[in-house]
Amino acid sequence: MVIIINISDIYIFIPELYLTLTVFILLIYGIFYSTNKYYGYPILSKNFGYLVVITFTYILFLIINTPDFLSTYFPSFFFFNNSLKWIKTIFLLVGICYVFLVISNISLEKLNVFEFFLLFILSILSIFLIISTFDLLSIYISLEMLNLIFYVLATIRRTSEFSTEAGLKYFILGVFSTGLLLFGIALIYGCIGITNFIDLSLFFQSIMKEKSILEIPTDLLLGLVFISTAFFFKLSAAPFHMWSPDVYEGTLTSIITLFIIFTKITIFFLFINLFGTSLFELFNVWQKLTLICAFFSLFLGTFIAFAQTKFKRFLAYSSINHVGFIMIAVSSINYNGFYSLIFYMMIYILINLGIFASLLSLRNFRNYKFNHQIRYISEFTILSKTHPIIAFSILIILFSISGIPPIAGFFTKLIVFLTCLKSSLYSLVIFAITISCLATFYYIRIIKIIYFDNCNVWLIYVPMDKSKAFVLSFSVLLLTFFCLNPNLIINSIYIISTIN
Amino acid sequence: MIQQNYYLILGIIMFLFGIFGIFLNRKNILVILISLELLILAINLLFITFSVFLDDIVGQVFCLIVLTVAAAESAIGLAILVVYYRICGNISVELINLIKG
Repeated sequence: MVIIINISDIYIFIPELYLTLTVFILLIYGIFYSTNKYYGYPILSKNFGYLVVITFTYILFLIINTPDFLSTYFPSFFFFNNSLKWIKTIFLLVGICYVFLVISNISLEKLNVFEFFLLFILSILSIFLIISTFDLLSIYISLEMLNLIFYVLATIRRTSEFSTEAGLKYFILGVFSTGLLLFGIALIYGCIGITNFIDLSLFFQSIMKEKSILEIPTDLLLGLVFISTAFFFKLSAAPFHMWSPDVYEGTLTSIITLFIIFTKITIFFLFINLFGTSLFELFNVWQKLTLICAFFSLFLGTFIAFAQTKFKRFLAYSSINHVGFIMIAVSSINYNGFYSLIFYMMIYILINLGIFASLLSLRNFRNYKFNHQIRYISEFTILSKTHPIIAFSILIILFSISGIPPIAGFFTKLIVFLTCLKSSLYSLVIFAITISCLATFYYIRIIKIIYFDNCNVWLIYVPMDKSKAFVLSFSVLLLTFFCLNPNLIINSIYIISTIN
Repeated sequence: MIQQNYYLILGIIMFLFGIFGIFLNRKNILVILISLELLILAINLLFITFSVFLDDIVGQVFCLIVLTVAAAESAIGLAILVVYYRICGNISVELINLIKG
């Protein structure tokens, strides 16, 4: 292993370098000002939010202006291609939307630490590293970077019993899944002595020409199973989902938004990178694993969500259900699988931006000092009278999740099912359609609670502010008017997923 | 090769001890953190063994990186545990049941 760093490597790496330098400068700035008696110990949270937006805008220009070519850099630890460039752009845009979502909630939730946005920048940096990994070693480092940031973020409310408990649970199960990942990597490394993706794919191509899958050594297959189990843990796919509802319930809502929107998508990209390119020849093995996980996450994500009374737990199970659908797209391993996966993710991001914009703005207003986030689904009653616009947008978003035709969610499920049919997984498609029909029940139940239930005591809410309204309208309008010209978005996503 | 098997079996037994320590432990969260650390150290032993017997340096590099990251990880874990202890006043596994469905 010879480490030679070329100038051209650094040239590709400029956006990430810029992010790192920004983190250092912002850290110095934050520590200097927030501990300065002369300025009166200012609370820098909002200021940092706007600085993050400026940083992301600069990096957007840096990323768009990087030349289009395919290469690996830092001796093939990371790779770069054209579709990755657009995916990074999408992540930055979503990051800016996220800042607009939480920036007003910071004073409401009394999250008066400037480190929150620093950790957010660092998590975006680690996401960039994760989606461009090209080596088993760099998978471990970048995943661990993201996880360490998220353990801190889950416990960022130090004085809350819920938050610390959720952070503890997240930490224990996160480290356990990292252990499984490392064990799998160790087995694969010990069996063939290769860690690079290209080398792995060449090795498996040559070995599968001569031998059948039964002759492959069992440690190799065991390593594959361990690695995929670790990924399912991180994705909270169904047999390994037990931590996610607890963590989602305990942590602050603005941080849960970060977890739900960013982690699943990054880890799915990593999954596709690893399993779709380097371990592609072993798809007979990992396709079965993903199919089992897809089945369980569709089943449990639907039926346990029936019993939930708290809205955040409900969202957790709903996201497990989404993971099931994305897993179907992954397991239909033709080229359209990758494309339908990206398409599903884009709509998933939009749906979650909308649903969290509406959830974050629903804060029950007691008096000037006390307002708290809505927790129970039953608290949504009479929302159509007290907050008609939010009620209507929740209606649109829930219709989109359940897949009612003219709204964008329908097209995502349609494309996933069509790709799945192409690789002739008929029984799974029938099962998924049945499950999604059943799942509409509990989405429509919430709409019924919002529009038709009555109660005597009407809750009063803190008024919604401009930035959250901006994000909410962006998401809802895009979801609604998607049907007018679906080819525009579908074709652009197709181009993103096919260029290499 | 027999020697290699001894090392590997030792590593795998340590790994299993780590897993059982997490799941069978009913008393103390600190013990869970110790078993997590044991899990990662067992994997390090595997990496070192493989790297020696494959005559390849990557495994040792991997092991060093895993060690440093695991140190950072345990620091964060202990910090979370301290914060938890300040609020709840105990670190018993049976009492982490505030959040449940």
